[in-house]
Amino acid sequence: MRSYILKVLACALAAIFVVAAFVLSIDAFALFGTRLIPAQRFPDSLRMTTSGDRVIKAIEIARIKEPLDILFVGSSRVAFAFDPRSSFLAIMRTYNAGLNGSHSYETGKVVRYAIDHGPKIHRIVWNIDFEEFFRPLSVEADFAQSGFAGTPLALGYLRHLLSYEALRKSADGAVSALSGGFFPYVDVDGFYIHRRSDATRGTLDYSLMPRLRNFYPHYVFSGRTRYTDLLDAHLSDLDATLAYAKAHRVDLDIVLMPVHATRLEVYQIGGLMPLFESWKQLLAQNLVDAAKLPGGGSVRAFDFSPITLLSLEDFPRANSDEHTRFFFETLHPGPMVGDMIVARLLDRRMPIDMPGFGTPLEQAVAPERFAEDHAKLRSWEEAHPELVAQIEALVAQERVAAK
Amino acid sequence: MLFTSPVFLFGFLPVVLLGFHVLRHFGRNILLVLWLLAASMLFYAWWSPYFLVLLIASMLANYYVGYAIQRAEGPTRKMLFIAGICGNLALLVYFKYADFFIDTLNNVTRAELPLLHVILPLGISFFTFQKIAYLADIHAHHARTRRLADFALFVFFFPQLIAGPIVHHSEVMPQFRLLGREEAHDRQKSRVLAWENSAVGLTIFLMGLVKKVVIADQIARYVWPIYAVASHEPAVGFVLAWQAALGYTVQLYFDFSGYSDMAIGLARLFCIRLPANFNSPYAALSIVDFWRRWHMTLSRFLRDYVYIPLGGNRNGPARRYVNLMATMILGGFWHGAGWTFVVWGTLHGIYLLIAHAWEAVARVRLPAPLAWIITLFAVIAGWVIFRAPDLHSAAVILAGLTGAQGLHHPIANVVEAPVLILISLALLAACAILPNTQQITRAYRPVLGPVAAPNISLQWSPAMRFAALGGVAAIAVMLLSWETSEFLYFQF
Repeated sequence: MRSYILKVLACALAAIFVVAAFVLSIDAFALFGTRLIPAQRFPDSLRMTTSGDRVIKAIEIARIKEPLDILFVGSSRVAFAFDPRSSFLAIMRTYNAGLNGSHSYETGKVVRYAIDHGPKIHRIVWNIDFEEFFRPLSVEADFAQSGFAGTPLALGYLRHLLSYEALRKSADGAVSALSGGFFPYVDVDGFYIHRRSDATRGTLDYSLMPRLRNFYPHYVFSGRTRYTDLLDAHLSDLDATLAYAKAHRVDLDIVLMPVHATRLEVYQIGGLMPLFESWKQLLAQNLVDAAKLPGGGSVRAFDFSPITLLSLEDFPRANSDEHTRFFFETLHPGPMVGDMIVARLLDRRMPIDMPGFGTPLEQAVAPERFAEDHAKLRSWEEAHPELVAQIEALVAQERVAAK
Repeated sequence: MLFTSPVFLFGFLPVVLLGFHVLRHFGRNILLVLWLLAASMLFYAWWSPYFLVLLIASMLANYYVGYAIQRAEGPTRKMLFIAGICGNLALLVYFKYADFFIDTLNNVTRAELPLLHVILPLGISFFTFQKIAYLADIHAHHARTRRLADFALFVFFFPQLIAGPIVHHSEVMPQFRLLGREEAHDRQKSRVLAWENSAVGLTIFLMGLVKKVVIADQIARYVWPIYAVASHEPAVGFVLAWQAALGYTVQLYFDFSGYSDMAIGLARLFCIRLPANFNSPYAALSIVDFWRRWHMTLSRFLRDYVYIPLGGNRNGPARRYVNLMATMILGGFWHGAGWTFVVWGTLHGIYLLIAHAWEAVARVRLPAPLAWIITLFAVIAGWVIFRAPDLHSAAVILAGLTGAQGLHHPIANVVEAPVLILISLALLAACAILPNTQQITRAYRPVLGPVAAPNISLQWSPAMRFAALGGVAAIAVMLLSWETSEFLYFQF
């Protein structure tokens, strides 16, 4: 029986060796520097995304040695919008730490982690979303396995060496390298290169609202009480992180990302618009107070969510050859928008001239600004009766569901 | 600390095993018992040190109440027994059912009593039953109090602490007293036995890991979204409904029997045999047969400590059916503080009544394939109610099973996976035909009590081909365990 146990252990070790050797030779997540595929087939600057992206991003931040001009943090809206290698940002050293499905509680932890374990950071650009204030202060599944949650980075390496996902993505990487193409999502310095054609073509018709239900989480419709219950906790957590960043002499720019008109219409028909506007006012006040906290860093806030040219962009029908310029779909702005936001934050010339884009939040919450926005939304409603009808049906469905 | 987590597999377990085998060399029983007790307490404290204190207090109280019952006579004995049972049930009711009762009261009387939001101590339903059985047996003169350390280990023994098998004190406490004594008498024989226990324990543990991590957890991701949205969907299509029903039927079995295998395997690593908890339940040809094969240690407890004390079948058929129904409803309620569990228990009570009535009146034996299909469908329908978050969701999915809501009814964020239906059917057939864990390792007496011979012979032996399979199983578990979830029965 002793020899049997030794044989089991030997077989397990042999299997581990084979898997590890394969994963290392592909190095799909560009973590180990052992990739054997020629760079023209799978460039070293690209890697595959994974559900363990939080784990990888914690490792990547800890690895950066040179000071960072900008660290982008926030949800997938950040991950898709700020491309550190865009011609606009390439002159600076930046890293995109945006995490799919995250909210400010997780982002707060990312900010603290980056300040404690990362390089010297000059500026943090942080996107805060209205919807996240409906979500409890908890973390996503793989966050617990990441350095952001205090898990040793060695476990992160192990996860990406000996996990089914690492094995599967390694196989995907090998196939994609052999077939000469890349998988839809790959990233550079944390940025998600999203193949625009995948969003605007294929089976999903992004012009149709019912198809977009998955971008409108139930919890937004399932009760204002939840928002009210969580508001103080969210704001206090935000304050604590802002104070921490300020104390470490890091400049913070809070941004409210552009919101597509269809999404604003969902708020409007769903009766959430007054809540959205009062949330902005509260946030503005909170950030003004935070700016007065002791510490060397500055705190600024900009509102990019009011209706502008880019948030009125129409989506092409499925299988058409047309592409959108600004939004991938109603939720995620693309890298051109990211460049424009950075241009506004750094007072540079924007790629597209757009007056009023990125108003300081304090000014953006004035009632007359809200009235201007309502008027613009009404014009959009008149021009898109079919979409408005679909949104009404969607909201009615969600209200029934919420009951 | 999950059995599937790296901290357990690569930290806790190797250290406890190493310490156990080092101490075994001294041949001192008390050292081994105390070592396992300390490890078990650490295992529980990993989840909550506060509840460890509660569990220790409850254990000590039960030990001394048992001691007092043993010494007392007449009405005092009975009163002490009732006090002990009430104390255990009070803990269970407070932690598990308080909010349910308050919520029900609020709904009925429109009162607005605040909920307590009590956190449920892990495994409370399991260890409460074990202690009640202990007190009942002492009261009935079927048992006597023994060494405190053995009783403490009986309560805390980490392989079965959280989700069973629900062990009887007479099954494990004598084994605890024998730990290390073999070493003192015949060192050579003891070593051979220890290696055999390790090999058999490791094999059963690996089988459980594969069931949980490779099968149950993978199926779960296509199942839970359907139940999650069912409460706010007006309809669920035929495909999604069957995906939910069949998928959960397979997931639950592989999850819970996987946990039981792990518990049995882990105990065996420490030279302890536990009772079997599953015996190919999806091979059952009647609902009565199903309950002899599913969660056997719970069925045994309910039979011995609820059904028989209620009168069992001693007072005529009518009273027997009432007792049966009461036992099944209680069994359902034991699983959780919710109406879905009550309805599930009631449904199985009705199933049993129909089965017994059929036996008494019709006296016709259905052909085995037909009996198997009818039993399986009845069980599957029951699982839908058991799993659903509320009765509305259960009704929506059950209606979907009939096809009345159309073949497809797309729901956002829910993936229709017809292939999962085929996989589930194949796995159900495999569960019915192939030998189970105990039968595969039958030659090495994997559990307490006899193990029936399988129809298809597949015997594990310490041969190279099984070692290779074990190695592959280990790497498969390792690759998939990063995204593993809690065991379903932890919530009960």
